[in-house]
Amino acid sequence: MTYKAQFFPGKSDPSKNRRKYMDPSYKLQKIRSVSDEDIVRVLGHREPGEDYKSVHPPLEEMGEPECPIRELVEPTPGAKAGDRIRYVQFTDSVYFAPISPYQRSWMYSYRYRGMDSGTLSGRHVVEARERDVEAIAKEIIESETFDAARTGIRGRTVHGHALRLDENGIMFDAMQRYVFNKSTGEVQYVKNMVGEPIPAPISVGKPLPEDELKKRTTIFRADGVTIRDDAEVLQMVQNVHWERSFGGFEPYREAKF
Amino acid sequence: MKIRPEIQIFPFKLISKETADRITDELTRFDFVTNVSVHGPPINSKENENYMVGWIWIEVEDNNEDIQKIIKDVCDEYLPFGYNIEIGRFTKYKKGVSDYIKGLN
Repeated sequence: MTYKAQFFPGKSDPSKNRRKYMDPSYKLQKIRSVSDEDIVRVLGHREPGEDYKSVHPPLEEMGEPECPIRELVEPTPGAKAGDRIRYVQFTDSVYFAPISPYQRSWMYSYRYRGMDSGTLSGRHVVEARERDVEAIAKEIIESETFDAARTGIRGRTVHGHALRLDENGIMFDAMQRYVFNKSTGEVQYVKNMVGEPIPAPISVGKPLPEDELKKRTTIFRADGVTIRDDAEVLQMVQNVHWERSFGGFEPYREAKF
Repeated sequence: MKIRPEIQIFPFKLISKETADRITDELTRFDFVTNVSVHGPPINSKENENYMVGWIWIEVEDNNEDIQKIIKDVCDEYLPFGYNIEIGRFTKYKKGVSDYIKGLN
Protein backbone atom coordinates (compact mmCIF):
# COMPACT_ATOMS: atom_id res chain seq x y z
CA MET A 1 0.00 0.00 0.00
CA THR A 2 1.36 3.37 -0.91
CA TYR A 3 0.80 5.92 1.79
CA LYS A 4 0.82 9.62 1.11
CA ALA A 5 1.49 11.74 4.17
CA GLN A 6 -1.09 14.43 4.75
CA PHE A 7 1.12 16.25 7.34
CA PHE A 8 -1.65 18.46 8.70
CA PRO A 9 -5.43 18.75 8.21
CA GLY A 10 -7.38 21.86 7.35
CA LYS A 11 -8.02 24.44 4.65
CA SER A 12 -7.12 27.68 6.44
CA ASP A 13 -3.91 29.66 5.82
CA PRO A 14 -2.09 28.50 8.99
CA SER A 15 -2.93 24.88 8.11
CA LYS A 16 -1.60 25.30 4.58
CA ASN A 17 1.59 26.87 5.91
CA ARG A 18 2.10 24.10 8.45
CA ARG A 19 1.69 21.52 5.71
CA LYS A 20 4.10 23.38 3.49
CA TYR A 21 6.86 23.68 6.09
CA MET A 22 6.52 20.06 7.21
CA ASP A 23 6.57 18.63 3.70
CA PRO A 24 10.25 17.82 3.00
CA SER A 25 9.65 17.97 -0.76
CA TYR A 26 8.73 21.67 -0.47
CA LYS A 27 11.83 23.84 -0.78
CA LEU A 28 11.78 26.68 1.78
CA GLN A 29 11.66 30.04 0.04
CA LYS A 30 14.88 32.01 0.45
CA ILE A 31 14.15 35.62 1.37
CA ARG A 32 17.54 36.92 2.55
CA SER A 33 21.16 35.97 2.31
CA VAL A 34 23.59 35.89 5.23
CA SER A 35 27.21 34.85 4.70
CA ASP A 36 28.67 31.70 6.31
CA GLU A 37 31.04 33.86 8.34
CA ASP A 38 28.16 35.91 9.79
CA ILE A 39 26.29 32.74 10.75
CA VAL A 40 29.39 31.52 12.63
CA ARG A 41 29.65 34.88 14.39
CA VAL A 42 25.99 34.91 15.43
CA LEU A 43 26.21 31.36 16.77
CA GLY A 44 29.45 32.15 18.62
CA HIS A 45 30.59 28.54 18.98
CA ARG A 46 33.90 29.18 17.18
CA GLU A 47 35.78 32.01 15.50
CA PRO A 48 35.25 32.28 11.72
CA GLY A 49 38.01 30.32 9.96
CA GLU A 50 38.87 28.36 13.08
CA ASP A 51 39.03 24.57 12.84
CA TYR A 52 36.15 22.50 14.12
CA LYS A 53 37.02 20.92 17.47
CA SER A 54 36.35 17.21 17.57
CA VAL A 55 35.37 14.71 20.24
CA HIS A 56 36.49 11.62 18.34
CA PRO A 57 38.63 10.85 15.29
CA PRO A 58 36.90 10.81 11.87
CA LEU A 59 34.76 7.71 11.40
CA GLU A 60 36.97 6.45 8.53
CA GLU A 61 40.01 6.32 10.81
CA MET A 62 38.14 4.81 13.70
CA GLY A 63 37.47 1.41 12.13
CA GLU A 64 33.83 0.84 12.93
CA PRO A 65 32.53 -2.60 13.92
CA GLU A 66 30.51 -4.54 11.39
CA CYS A 67 26.91 -3.48 11.75
CA PRO A 68 24.05 -3.57 9.22
CA ILE A 69 22.57 -0.35 10.60
CA ARG A 70 25.84 1.53 10.15
CA GLU A 71 25.89 0.35 6.54
CA LEU A 72 22.32 1.44 6.00
CA VAL A 73 22.55 4.91 7.54
CA GLU A 74 24.83 7.44 5.93
CA PRO A 75 26.45 9.57 8.68
CA THR A 76 25.97 13.35 8.51
CA PRO A 77 29.06 15.42 7.58
CA GLY A 78 29.49 16.47 11.21
CA ALA A 79 29.30 12.91 12.51
CA LYS A 80 31.73 11.75 9.82
CA ALA A 81 34.31 14.30 11.01
CA GLY A 82 33.67 13.73 14.72
CA ASP A 83 32.52 17.28 15.59
CA ARG A 84 31.32 18.43 18.97
CA ILE A 85 27.59 18.73 19.66
CA ARG A 86 26.51 22.36 19.47
CA TYR A 87 23.14 24.08 19.41
CA VAL A 88 21.11 26.86 17.91
CA GLN A 89 17.99 28.27 19.56
CA PHE A 90 15.19 30.40 18.15
CA THR A 91 12.50 32.36 19.95
CA ASP A 92 9.21 32.95 18.14
CA SER A 93 6.85 35.75 19.07
CA VAL A 94 3.18 34.95 19.65
CA TYR A 95 2.32 37.92 17.43
CA PHE A 96 2.12 36.13 14.07
CA ALA A 97 5.68 34.82 13.89
CA PRO A 98 6.17 32.86 10.66
CA ILE A 99 6.51 29.64 12.65
CA SER A 100 6.12 28.57 16.27
CA PRO A 101 8.28 26.23 18.38
CA TYR A 102 6.01 23.21 18.10
CA GLN A 103 5.90 23.36 14.32
CA ARG A 104 9.66 23.86 14.27
CA SER A 105 10.00 20.51 15.95
CA TRP A 106 7.74 18.87 13.36
CA MET A 107 9.48 20.63 10.51
CA TYR A 108 13.00 19.74 11.65
CA SER A 109 12.02 16.11 12.19
CA TYR A 110 10.89 15.84 8.58
CA ARG A 111 13.77 17.80 7.10
CA TYR A 112 17.00 17.15 9.00
CA ARG A 113 18.94 14.11 10.14
CA GLY A 114 21.20 13.61 13.13
CA MET A 115 19.65 16.34 15.26
CA ASP A 116 17.88 16.49 18.59
CA SER A 117 15.23 19.15 19.01
CA GLY A 118 13.70 20.50 22.19
CA THR A 119 10.43 22.40 22.23
CA LEU A 120 9.50 24.89 24.94
CA SER A 121 6.65 27.37 25.07
CA GLY A 122 8.47 30.23 23.42
CA ARG A 123 11.73 28.85 22.13
CA HIS A 124 13.04 25.91 20.24
CA VAL A 125 16.53 24.49 20.60
CA VAL A 126 18.16 22.13 18.14
CA GLU A 127 21.32 20.21 18.94
CA ALA A 128 23.53 18.56 16.34
CA ARG A 129 27.15 18.20 15.27
CA GLU A 130 28.76 21.62 14.84
CA ARG A 131 28.87 21.78 11.04
CA ASP A 132 25.35 20.36 10.81
CA VAL A 133 24.13 23.05 13.22
CA GLU A 134 25.71 25.71 11.04
CA ALA A 135 24.06 24.27 7.93
CA ILE A 136 20.65 24.08 9.66
CA ALA A 137 21.01 27.62 11.08
CA LYS A 138 21.96 29.02 7.68
CA GLU A 139 19.01 27.41 5.93
CA ILE A 140 16.53 28.51 8.61
CA ILE A 141 17.81 32.09 8.95
CA GLU A 142 17.77 32.64 5.18
CA SER A 143 14.36 31.08 4.69
CA GLU A 144 10.78 32.33 4.99
CA THR A 145 10.42 30.76 8.45
CA PHE A 146 12.58 33.53 9.91
CA ASP A 147 11.32 37.07 10.31
CA ALA A 148 13.71 39.82 11.34
CA ALA A 149 11.32 41.27 13.93
CA ARG A 150 9.29 38.33 15.24
CA THR A 151 12.00 35.66 15.41
CA GLY A 152 15.10 35.89 17.56
CA ILE A 153 18.33 33.86 17.65
CA ARG A 154 18.84 33.52 21.39
CA GLY A 155 21.12 31.21 23.30
CA ARG A 156 20.14 32.49 26.72
CA THR A 157 17.81 35.09 28.28
CA VAL A 158 15.14 34.07 25.80
CA HIS A 159 12.30 35.79 27.70
CA GLY A 160 10.07 37.94 25.54
CA HIS A 161 8.01 35.83 23.13
CA ALA A 162 4.69 36.73 24.78
CA LEU A 163 5.50 40.35 25.67
CA ARG A 164 4.09 43.28 23.77
CA LEU A 165 6.15 44.33 20.76
CA ASP A 166 8.12 47.56 20.98
CA GLU A 167 7.37 50.81 19.14
CA ASN A 168 9.10 49.57 15.97
CA GLY A 169 7.27 46.23 16.03
CA ILE A 170 10.32 44.30 17.27
CA MET A 171 10.03 41.46 19.80
CA PHE A 172 11.36 42.34 23.26
CA ASP A 173 14.91 41.19 23.96
CA ALA A 174 16.37 41.82 27.41
CA MET A 175 19.93 41.49 26.08
CA GLN A 176 19.43 43.81 23.09
CA ARG A 177 21.12 41.36 20.73
CA TYR A 178 19.45 42.99 17.78
CA VAL A 179 18.59 46.62 17.16
CA PHE A 180 16.32 48.34 14.70
CA ASN A 181 18.23 50.65 12.40
CA LYS A 182 15.82 53.54 11.78
CA SER A 183 17.76 54.98 8.82
CA THR A 184 17.76 51.74 6.80
CA GLY A 185 14.68 50.11 8.31
CA GLU A 186 16.62 46.90 8.85
CA VAL A 187 17.23 44.77 11.92
CA GLN A 188 20.87 44.28 12.81
CA TYR A 189 22.45 41.77 15.14
CA VAL A 190 25.06 43.50 17.32
CA LYS A 191 25.64 40.60 19.70
CA ASN A 192 25.92 36.88 19.21
CA MET A 193 23.45 34.26 20.44
CA VAL A 194 24.64 34.43 24.07
CA GLY A 195 24.99 38.21 24.22
CA GLU A 196 28.69 38.76 23.49
CA PRO A 197 29.45 41.72 21.22
CA ILE A 198 30.45 40.96 17.62
CA PRO A 199 32.88 43.09 15.55
CA ALA A 200 30.44 44.36 12.92
CA PRO A 201 26.63 44.47 12.88
CA ILE A 202 24.98 41.72 10.85
CA SER A 203 21.88 42.73 8.94
CA VAL A 204 19.01 40.26 8.62
CA GLY A 205 16.85 42.52 6.49
CA LYS A 206 13.62 44.40 6.96
CA PRO A 207 10.76 43.05 9.08
CA LEU A 208 7.78 41.86 7.06
CA PRO A 209 4.60 43.99 7.19
CA GLU A 210 1.75 42.83 9.43
CA ASP A 211 -0.60 41.64 6.66
CA GLU A 212 2.17 39.66 4.99
CA LEU A 213 2.99 37.99 8.34
CA LYS A 214 -0.68 37.07 8.82
CA LYS A 215 -0.56 35.26 5.48
CA ARG A 216 2.65 33.42 6.30
CA THR A 217 2.00 32.48 9.91
CA THR A 218 1.33 29.00 11.26
CA ILE A 219 -0.28 30.37 14.42
CA PHE A 220 -4.03 30.21 15.04
CA ARG A 221 -5.00 33.36 16.95
CA ALA A 222 -8.22 35.01 18.03
CA ASP A 223 -7.30 38.19 16.14
CA GLY A 224 -6.20 36.29 13.04
CA VAL A 225 -7.56 32.93 11.92
CA THR A 226 -9.00 31.11 14.92
CA ILE A 227 -8.88 27.36 15.23
CA ARG A 228 -12.70 27.38 15.24
CA ASP A 229 -12.68 28.64 11.65
CA ASP A 230 -11.15 25.36 10.57
CA ALA A 231 -13.48 22.50 11.43
CA GLU A 232 -11.08 19.78 10.36
CA VAL A 233 -8.28 21.04 12.63
CA LEU A 234 -10.67 21.40 15.55
CA GLN A 235 -11.87 17.83 14.97
CA MET A 236 -8.27 16.57 15.03
CA VAL A 237 -7.46 18.46 18.23
CA GLN A 238 -10.58 17.07 19.93
CA ASN A 239 -9.71 13.59 18.70
CA VAL A 240 -6.21 13.81 20.15
CA HIS A 241 -7.56 15.22 23.39
CA TRP A 242 -10.15 12.46 23.77
CA GLU A 243 -7.70 9.70 23.00
CA ARG A 244 -5.00 10.89 25.35
CA SER A 245 -7.50 11.50 28.16
CA PHE A 246 -9.59 8.35 27.92
CA GLY A 247 -7.23 6.03 26.05
CA GLY A 248 -5.53 4.88 29.21
CA PHE A 249 -8.55 5.22 31.48
CA GLU A 250 -11.50 3.49 29.83
CA PRO A 251 -10.23 2.39 26.44
CA TYR A 252 -13.39 0.40 25.64
CA ARG A 253 -15.48 3.57 25.60
CA GLU A 254 -16.35 5.11 22.28
CA ALA A 255 -15.14 8.59 21.51
CA LYS A 256 -17.83 11.22 21.84
CA PHE A 257 -17.28 14.71 20.52
CA MET B 1 -5.14 59.60 55.34
CA LYS B 2 -6.53 60.43 51.95
CA ILE B 3 -5.99 57.67 49.41
CA ARG B 4 -5.55 59.28 46.04
CA PRO B 5 -6.81 57.43 42.96
CA GLU B 6 -4.47 56.34 40.20
CA ILE B 7 -4.96 56.20 36.46
CA GLN B 8 -3.22 53.31 34.75
CA ILE B 9 -2.12 53.62 31.16
CA PHE B 10 -1.49 50.34 29.37
CA PRO B 11 0.04 51.00 25.94
CA PHE B 12 -0.51 48.30 23.31
CA LYS B 13 3.22 48.33 22.58
CA LEU B 14 6.19 48.42 24.94
CA ILE B 15 7.46 51.98 24.81
CA SER B 16 11.06 53.08 25.14
CA LYS B 17 12.39 54.89 28.20
CA GLU B 18 12.67 58.10 26.15
CA THR B 19 9.00 58.11 25.13
CA ALA B 20 7.98 57.34 28.70
CA ASP B 21 10.13 60.22 29.96
CA ARG B 22 8.44 62.59 27.52
CA ILE B 23 4.98 61.50 28.70
CA THR B 24 6.05 61.82 32.34
CA ASP B 25 7.44 65.32 31.79
CA GLU B 26 4.25 66.39 30.06
CA LEU B 27 2.05 64.99 32.83
CA THR B 28 3.99 66.28 35.87
CA ARG B 29 3.40 69.84 34.62
CA PHE B 30 -0.23 69.62 35.69
CA ASP B 31 -1.12 70.60 39.26
CA PHE B 32 -3.58 67.77 39.78
CA VAL B 33 -0.90 65.10 39.14
CA THR B 34 0.84 64.21 42.39
CA ASN B 35 3.04 61.34 41.22
CA VAL B 36 3.86 59.41 38.05
CA SER B 37 5.50 55.99 38.19
CA VAL B 38 6.43 53.65 35.35
CA HIS B 39 7.02 49.94 35.24
CA GLY B 40 8.25 47.45 32.63
CA PRO B 41 10.67 44.66 31.79
CA PRO B 42 14.36 45.45 32.38
CA ILE B 43 17.06 45.41 29.71
CA ASN B 44 20.46 44.08 30.73
CA SER B 45 22.90 46.77 29.82
CA LYS B 46 26.36 47.29 31.28
CA GLU B 47 26.60 51.01 30.52
CA ASN B 48 23.40 52.28 32.06
CA GLU B 49 20.20 51.09 33.63
CA ASN B 50 17.67 50.74 30.86
CA TYR B 51 14.14 49.41 30.65
CA MET B 52 11.09 49.29 28.46
CA VAL B 53 7.85 50.69 29.80
CA GLY B 54 4.63 48.72 29.80
CA TRP B 55 2.62 50.45 32.53
CA ILE B 56 2.30 54.09 33.57
CA TRP B 57 0.55 54.91 36.86
CA ILE B 58 -0.54 58.50 37.34
CA GLU B 59 -1.57 59.45 40.86
CA VAL B 60 -4.09 62.30 40.75
CA GLU B 61 -5.69 64.53 43.37
CA ASP B 62 -9.16 63.72 42.26
CA ASN B 63 -10.51 61.60 39.47
CA ASN B 64 -13.00 63.34 37.22
CA GLU B 65 -13.83 63.49 33.54
CA ASP B 66 -11.90 66.70 32.84
CA ILE B 67 -8.71 65.20 34.25
CA GLN B 68 -9.22 62.01 32.26
CA LYS B 69 -9.71 64.03 29.09
CA ILE B 70 -6.46 65.93 29.62
CA ILE B 71 -4.57 62.67 30.23
CA LYS B 72 -6.17 61.07 27.17
CA ASP B 73 -5.05 64.01 25.02
CA VAL B 74 -1.45 63.54 26.16
CA CYS B 75 -1.63 59.79 25.51
CA ASP B 76 -3.14 60.25 22.06
CA GLU B 77 -0.17 62.38 21.12
CA TYR B 78 2.55 59.97 22.27
CA LEU B 79 0.85 56.58 21.90
CA PRO B 80 -0.58 56.45 18.37
CA PHE B 81 -0.76 52.61 18.43
CA GLY B 82 -3.42 52.61 21.15
CA TYR B 83 -3.70 52.13 24.91
CA ASN B 84 -6.09 51.18 27.68
CA ILE B 85 -7.01 53.42 30.61
CA GLU B 86 -8.06 52.06 33.97
CA ILE B 87 -8.86 53.78 37.22
CA GLY B 88 -8.00 52.33 40.61
CA ARG B 89 -5.06 52.02 42.93
CA PHE B 90 -2.07 50.16 41.49
CA THR B 91 0.95 51.04 43.66
CA LYS B 92 1.59 50.88 47.39
CA TYR B 93 0.49 53.92 49.40
CA LYS B 94 1.14 52.81 52.96
CA LYS B 95 3.51 50.63 54.93
CA GLY B 96 2.70 46.90 54.91
CA VAL B 97 3.55 44.23 57.46
CA SER B 98 6.69 43.08 55.66
CA ASP B 99 7.86 46.71 55.33
CA TYR B 100 7.34 47.11 59.06
CA ILE B 101 9.46 44.00 59.77
CA LYS B 102 12.21 45.25 57.46
CA GLY B 103 12.13 48.61 59.23
CA LEU B 104 11.28 50.58 56.10
CA ASN B 105 9.54 53.90 56.32
